[in-house]
Amino acid sequence: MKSQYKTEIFYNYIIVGVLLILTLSFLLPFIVVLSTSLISEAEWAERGGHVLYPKKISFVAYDILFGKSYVLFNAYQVTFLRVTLGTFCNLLFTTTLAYALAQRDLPYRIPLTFFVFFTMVFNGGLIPQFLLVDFLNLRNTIFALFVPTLINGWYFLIMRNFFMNIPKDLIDAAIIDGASPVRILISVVLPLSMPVMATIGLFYAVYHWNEWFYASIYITEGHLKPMQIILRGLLNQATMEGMENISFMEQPPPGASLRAALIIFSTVPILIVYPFIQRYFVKGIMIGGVKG
Amino acid sequence: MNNLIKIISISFMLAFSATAIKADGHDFTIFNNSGMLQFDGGGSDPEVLAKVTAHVTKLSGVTPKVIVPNMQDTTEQLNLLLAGSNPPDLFQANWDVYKSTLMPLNDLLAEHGDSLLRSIPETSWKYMTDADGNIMGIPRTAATSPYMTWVRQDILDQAGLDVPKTVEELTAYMAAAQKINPDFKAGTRAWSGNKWEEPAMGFAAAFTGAMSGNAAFIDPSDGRVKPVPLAPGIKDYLHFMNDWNNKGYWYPDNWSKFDESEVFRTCNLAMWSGWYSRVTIVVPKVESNCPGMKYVRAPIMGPQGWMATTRASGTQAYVINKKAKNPEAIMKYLNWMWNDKSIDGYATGVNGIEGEHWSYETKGFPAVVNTKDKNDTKYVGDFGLPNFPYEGNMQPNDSLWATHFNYLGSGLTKLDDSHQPIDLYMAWDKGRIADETPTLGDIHRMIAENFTAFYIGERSIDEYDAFLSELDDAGMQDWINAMTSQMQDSW
Amino acid sequence: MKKIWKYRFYYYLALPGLVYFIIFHYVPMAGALIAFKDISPFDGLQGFFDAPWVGLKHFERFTSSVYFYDVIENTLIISGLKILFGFPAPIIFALLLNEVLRMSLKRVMQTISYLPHFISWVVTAGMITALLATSGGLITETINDFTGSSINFLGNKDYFVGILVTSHVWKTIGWSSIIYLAAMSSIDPALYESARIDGANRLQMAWHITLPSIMFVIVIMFLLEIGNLLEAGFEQILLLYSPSVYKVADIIDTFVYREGLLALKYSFAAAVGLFKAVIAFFLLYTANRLANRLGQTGLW
Repeated sequence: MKSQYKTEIFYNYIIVGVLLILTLSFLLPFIVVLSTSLISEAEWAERGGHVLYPKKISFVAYDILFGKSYVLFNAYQVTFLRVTLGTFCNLLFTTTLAYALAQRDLPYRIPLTFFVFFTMVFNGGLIPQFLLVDFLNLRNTIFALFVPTLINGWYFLIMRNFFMNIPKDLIDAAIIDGASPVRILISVVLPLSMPVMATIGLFYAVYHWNEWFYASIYITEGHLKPMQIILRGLLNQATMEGMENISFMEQPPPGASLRAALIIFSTVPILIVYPFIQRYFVKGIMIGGVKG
Repeated sequence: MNNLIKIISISFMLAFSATAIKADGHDFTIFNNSGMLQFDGGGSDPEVLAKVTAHVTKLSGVTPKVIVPNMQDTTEQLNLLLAGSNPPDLFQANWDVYKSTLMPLNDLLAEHGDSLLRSIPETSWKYMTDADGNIMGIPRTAATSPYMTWVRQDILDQAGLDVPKTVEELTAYMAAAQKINPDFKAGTRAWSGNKWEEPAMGFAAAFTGAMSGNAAFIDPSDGRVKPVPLAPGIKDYLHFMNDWNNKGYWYPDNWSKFDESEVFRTCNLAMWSGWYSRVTIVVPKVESNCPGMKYVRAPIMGPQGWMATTRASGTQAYVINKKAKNPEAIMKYLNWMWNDKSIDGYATGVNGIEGEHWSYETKGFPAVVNTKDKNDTKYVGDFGLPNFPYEGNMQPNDSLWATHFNYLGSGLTKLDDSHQPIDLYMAWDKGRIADETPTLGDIHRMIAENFTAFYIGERSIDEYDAFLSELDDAGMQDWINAMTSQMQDSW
Repeated sequence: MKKIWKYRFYYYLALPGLVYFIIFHYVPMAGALIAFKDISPFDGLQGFFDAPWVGLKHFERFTSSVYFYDVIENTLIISGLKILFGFPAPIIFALLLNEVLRMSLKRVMQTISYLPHFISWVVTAGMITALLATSGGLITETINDFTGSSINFLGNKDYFVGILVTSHVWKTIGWSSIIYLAAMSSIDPALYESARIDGANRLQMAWHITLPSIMFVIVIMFLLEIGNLLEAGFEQILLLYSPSVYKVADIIDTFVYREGLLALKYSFAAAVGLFKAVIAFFLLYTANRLANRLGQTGLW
């Protein structure tokens, strides 16, 4: 017994040790990005675009980012709306479809699932999608930002498989009680599926938060542009090779500091919100929620 | 709970749709991908923009509406917008590529474009004219010599040398530089597959007397247009590159990946051959870290001619969509912006309201202006349409821009110390070449890969003839035919 | 028919999603036909109908390229290696994290693990370029101190793919592990309790309880990887590659990208896209049959 206890502790240390090394490898580059966002132009000239710590903290990059505050505030509203409304609709449509097609005895289940799956492999490309959105008059509306990508095929499949994995006896009990499918979904399946709902919800939300390409082609009115477009407008990420328009107006490229600040600016809100979602899928916190 | 969510979302939707569509009283739309809004994609403050719009309307007589492009993928965005239901009326593009969507400008210019006809030289209009005599756009730029070699004045002084003028002197310079400090290197770029005249590929001009934007030279033996790898003397060029590689003169990451700003920052670039603005814009930014570092322009003459090549102005132009409903308004706007007697229009478009956002230091043509920082004025220049060399008439009263601006007048437009390409006055139809040479992509990759291998000694230059037959197998004759037929058509 | 009526509520639930797929996926799917035409994108919908049919011209252009086999081989090798190392890594990471007892430590490490996901490839490539710069790069200089030789990593055909795979795994391991952690959190703790009473050690518990319990997620995620076999990481490679390493790094997507720069080639890109899709479809079909045969729920 005692030797088993000792080996347990030994393995504990090994596991934690390995994890700590990995964690450090994840953290260090991020700290470099953070520090780089806090250096001044002069310090960049001296030390380069990747520093572990700022010798002298300078908020120049953030000033430039926030200097656009007149535009940024509005953009933040747009992004907020996109993330909340978009994620809500994503989850709504994905969950209902996934739950329906998770019923093993549903007639035509396999053809219907194949119907969805087929779209994950074959698609018409960017131009037809754009023309369709244009035709439906969705351009320059919030709907263009989440309706074309309403259901992600892979998230649908993951969710469906999670639903199929729920112990049958719990659902059968509800059916015997005479509950309708919607009731079962809401009162039995969803509470049991908080981990996958939280995870897929997180995936959708982060997608909406970071996504800029579709926003850039569907939104041309300035006051409807989400945050990422505004911020990326501040740094042309094409390499300097691409920037060869002969013009007196040619400006110096934005510093490494500005680019780093953009990353921090995009990541920090997620870091703040994350702990609230984390409790749904890190084991040990939700024990007890399982048994009805 | 569910009902609450429904109510909230519906009210969001209603509120949002209300703001979604605003009716604007504008005459035409501009998709401003001119480079003006390179880093200001966020746009101007809406209130300030409204004021400037009113001001522009007052001065020019027309009201434009500007679409600020997404600078990541401007071409993609432009193409999609053109395919959609409200395509932009005015934008910048290569007219030959977008020809099917454009309107000829001859009549418009005659009626409303008198200023433009006066201020833009005849030779520039030649590039804009198609085979039928239609002028398809207003020239965006002029012929320039943007690829040049620079060496370090401080190293020259230390070594007691004059500015090198020949390839031999350049090599001697590098040797002397490395004696002073073995970390001093020569920086340049591997061929990107795009612009042939750009160093390091462009160096071939010095050894072959042949180079152009489309890799073309005319073989005197059969009069056909061939790509530079076939030019006599090309092996001398490769030996030169390889020799420098063996002596350790090249910055080692020239042939893979490097960030120019980071490399200049190290103060170890004894020589730079490439796009001019690295020296005029990047170097001033890092000068504080490298005391004494000073670059001087060094046009090099090789055994067969100049090392640098003039870059033709090409077919880049401001073009008008054939679906535009108000083309006269557009022409009036451009005529006002590029007035040949006063820079009022241009300065207003770029900077904003005179008196509030900018002012004259010295009036005239050219004029010197004082401008306020864009972060203060909150107008990023939506209406501004740069046009080289016209824009050189608006000189900034700002020392930070001095280097860059002075170079535009003195170095960039100095064409007498660079090789004149055979296609300087010709507009290639690149689509046609690509159609007639289906394997063009393969050929490009083959050249890029093998030349790099030749430089670094991975492949022996003795195998060059074998390489040429590989190119033949890959379809090089199609390319020669395509180029020859096009050039002959243009004569 | 009676069964359909019995299950009608489920059909009601599924209807909105299915309508979405019809409108936004099947209707525009006709656009894939531009692979068989020569289109000019900005002529809009009318141009799409007017454009001439060219049959298999674009496909032939792709398959007859000197580098056709090269780019496919590179795509498969790079993608294969990324799956070989990058697929088990998040699972093992999740298993390790699962063993940590101190909740606060576990949460902090899990949060930090996904940070690389948020650092864009542009910045990551910038860091890699800086670390591996032949003169001055931190890693290069350190190796130089030990071995005396200066290696040009990003220009070296032997090292380049290794750099791609390592950076890819680093960037994705944390974020990818989330779904596995989510699956693990649903495991009934009573299973572990009874195993512990039976004298099982942690390795045995992980192998016999945890892993089988999340197998349904592993299968679907693996199928996703198989479906993406022909996506070898375009953005990452574009930012890091150069002619020196074309031989090992040029993949289908970079090849198509360069072709697109020479002339507007929407049709060509569509043709290659269709080509990739057909192959992906067969790969997935086969993989799914295999999964079903092994008793697992696959794609359908």
